Amino acid sequence: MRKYIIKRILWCFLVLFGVSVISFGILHLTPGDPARLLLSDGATQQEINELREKMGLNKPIQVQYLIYMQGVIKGDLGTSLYFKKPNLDLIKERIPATLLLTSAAVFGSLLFSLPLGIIAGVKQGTFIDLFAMLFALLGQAMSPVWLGILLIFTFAVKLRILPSFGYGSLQALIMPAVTLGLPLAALITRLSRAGTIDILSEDYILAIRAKGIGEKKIIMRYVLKNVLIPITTIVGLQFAVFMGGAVVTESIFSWPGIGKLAISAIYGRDFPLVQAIMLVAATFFVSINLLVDIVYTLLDPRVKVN
Amino acid sequence: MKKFIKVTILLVLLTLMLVSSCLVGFAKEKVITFARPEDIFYLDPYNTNVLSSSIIDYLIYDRLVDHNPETGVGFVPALATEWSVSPDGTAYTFKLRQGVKFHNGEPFDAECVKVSLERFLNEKLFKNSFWETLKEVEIVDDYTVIVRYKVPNVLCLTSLILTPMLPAKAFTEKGVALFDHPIGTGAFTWGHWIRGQEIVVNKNPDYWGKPAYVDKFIYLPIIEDSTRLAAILTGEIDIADSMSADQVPMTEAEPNVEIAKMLAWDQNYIGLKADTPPMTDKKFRQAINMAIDRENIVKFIFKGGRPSTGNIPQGIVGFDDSLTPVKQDIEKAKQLVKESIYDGRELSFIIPMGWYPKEKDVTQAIQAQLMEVGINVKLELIDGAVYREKRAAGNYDFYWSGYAADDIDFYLWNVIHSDLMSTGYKNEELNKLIEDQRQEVDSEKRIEILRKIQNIINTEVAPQIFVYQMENLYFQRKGITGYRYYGNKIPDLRYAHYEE
Repeated sequence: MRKYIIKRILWCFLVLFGVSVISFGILHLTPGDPARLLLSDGATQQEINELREKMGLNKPIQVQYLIYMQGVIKGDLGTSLYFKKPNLDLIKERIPATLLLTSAAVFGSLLFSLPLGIIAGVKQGTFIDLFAMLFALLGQAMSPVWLGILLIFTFAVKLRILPSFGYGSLQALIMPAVTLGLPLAALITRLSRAGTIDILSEDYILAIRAKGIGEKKIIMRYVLKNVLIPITTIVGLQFAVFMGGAVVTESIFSWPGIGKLAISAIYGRDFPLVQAIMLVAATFFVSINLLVDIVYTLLDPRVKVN
Repeated sequence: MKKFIKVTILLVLLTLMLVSSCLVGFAKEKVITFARPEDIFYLDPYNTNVLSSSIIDYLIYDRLVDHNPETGVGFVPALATEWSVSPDGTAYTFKLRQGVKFHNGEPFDAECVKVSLERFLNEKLFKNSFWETLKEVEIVDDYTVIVRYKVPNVLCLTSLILTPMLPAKAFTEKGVALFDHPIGTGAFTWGHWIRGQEIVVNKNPDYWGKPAYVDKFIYLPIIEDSTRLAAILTGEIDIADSMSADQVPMTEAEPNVEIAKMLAWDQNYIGLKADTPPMTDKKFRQAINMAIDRENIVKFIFKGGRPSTGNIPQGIVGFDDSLTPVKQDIEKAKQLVKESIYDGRELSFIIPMGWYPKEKDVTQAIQAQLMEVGINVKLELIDGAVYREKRAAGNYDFYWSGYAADDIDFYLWNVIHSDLMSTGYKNEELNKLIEDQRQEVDSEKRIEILRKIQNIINTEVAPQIFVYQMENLYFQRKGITGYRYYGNKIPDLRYAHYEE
């Protein structure tokens, strides 16, 4: 097991190296000079050249990359061109907000959809089953932009029971979490329902029923545990993706997370900040993925790690 | 299950109680909340090109002079009580207000003016272009300074409105780190800034001027237009800036929200690659001018604003209200196109995405109008950075741009005289006049020169064709008064409050 974890960690570093090269390369290959964008329209070519020099944009690209990586290892992810503050600090400021939103969306979805899907699978053909399928369909079909704005106008403007934007209160969390988590909830519902139906039709379940074990115990012990295996992978992946920045949801609800920061950085061609966010998001993704893999091997004894 | 329900109900009730108690607490404090679709990056008032920062600057800092709040133009004393200009226009003498203190207790005096303005001599800052010809600031005594220029200058007062006064001692000590916790002489003191969320400033009880009405002012960046609309409709914010005409019908239905508009000193224009055929042919340029239907663009696409009559927008020095916009004349334009050297080739029209409102709609309308008269144009809607590069390199036939400013000099000098957009246009007479207006101290004479320049640009139809002047739309909760917008879209919100 230990060998497996070490091998996976080494693999993570390789992936992160690849990400840093790609993000660095792409940003420099796209058209558009960051120095020109940073200065106002009245900037002369001389001023632009001076800024390019100051930003080190004229050095060969390999050198720029090495300088960058040297800093990263020391914990210095560069300085934002617009905020004029260290990128890592700017990102750290936004992590709590994104973490809160992501956790609320993911755990909210799980709490709602897992029982819903399992019950639907157990009580196939009933009203609950129909509701679950409808929910799954709508949840995946609804665009988050449309849904977010619709929620705001219904619950904030028309009904006045929730705030239309912001961060800090429990009420402000509800709509963004729903908007972000709905597609995931739909997916979990479908997966847990299908998984439940599959498992219940297995022969060993028949054997257990014959032994006299109650239905409730069967569900809790056998169905739940087995259904959790694919669900954990999906949920873990989604959590990792959201931590990289739930850009759309954060923009709509003015949620001060990493996603919103990423958008302004990209539009403004704040090179250093975009790179830093990409690296941090990739690190989150890779670490969470690693965790999910380890949990997966613990959950499913059938998976051999050697 | 029953226990679970009971616990949930209890939690909900508890939350409601907490929330309502908080609301009661807040009701005692007077707050104005203002939202714009722009985030603030950096709070150095001399080194940012973001409009939203200027809004905060108005609250925390004071300037030597202010615009006349009644008329919106002209100058009234603020930190300077009187001023005079030397006959040759190179020296401006200011008498400073006595007894003014910064928020940290430091006194405001001549040293502060010197340290503030001479930053432009020593540092590379965004607002450098307003102080290009500054030579030095001479201290005569504690409350008298002379601002000296290398050549005659007519924009000193206009530039001072955008250049608030900084505390000499604190700035000398901390440098730009000062702006993490700004210190000014203004009606509000620094509260806090949670990046991406809010900026809060508090009433300054020791303000030298008229005290603010409210205890607290909050700036919120709400980028999404629909969310900002929702927030003003519910009353979660008091003033919503940069709204669009599409949002008006929904807002008119809400009795507690008022819609306000003001004409911005902001025009959009078509820039021409003047040294490339067929733009070299005056008949061709005139044809373009007559093909555009300015009236209907203003009426239907923007539902507000006014058609341009020249490069000087309504509201700033030099505006000539006797001019009328060029009326669309399709037949005459068609004729001119036929007579011109235009060979029918497809002309490239570069347009920056997201910089100007409804850029797609307007340029599509213009494209259709040009097509009607026989001019074939291809619209290239591109990313801002790519657009900037192409424009600077002269890689276009037409470019779509806007010009917003407190004075037309910046446009004349940079866009025409220095040809920053690489149009290739060369007109010696025009350039000479532009140089003259920069140095004409007599305001009447300067206006004459400005109008002459405008006339040439209008008759030559080069190097730009001005289309429309924009309107800024903002919504406020009913009953708010005491503030005003200036044409540069910066509001002076110091005295905003709800009428009792």
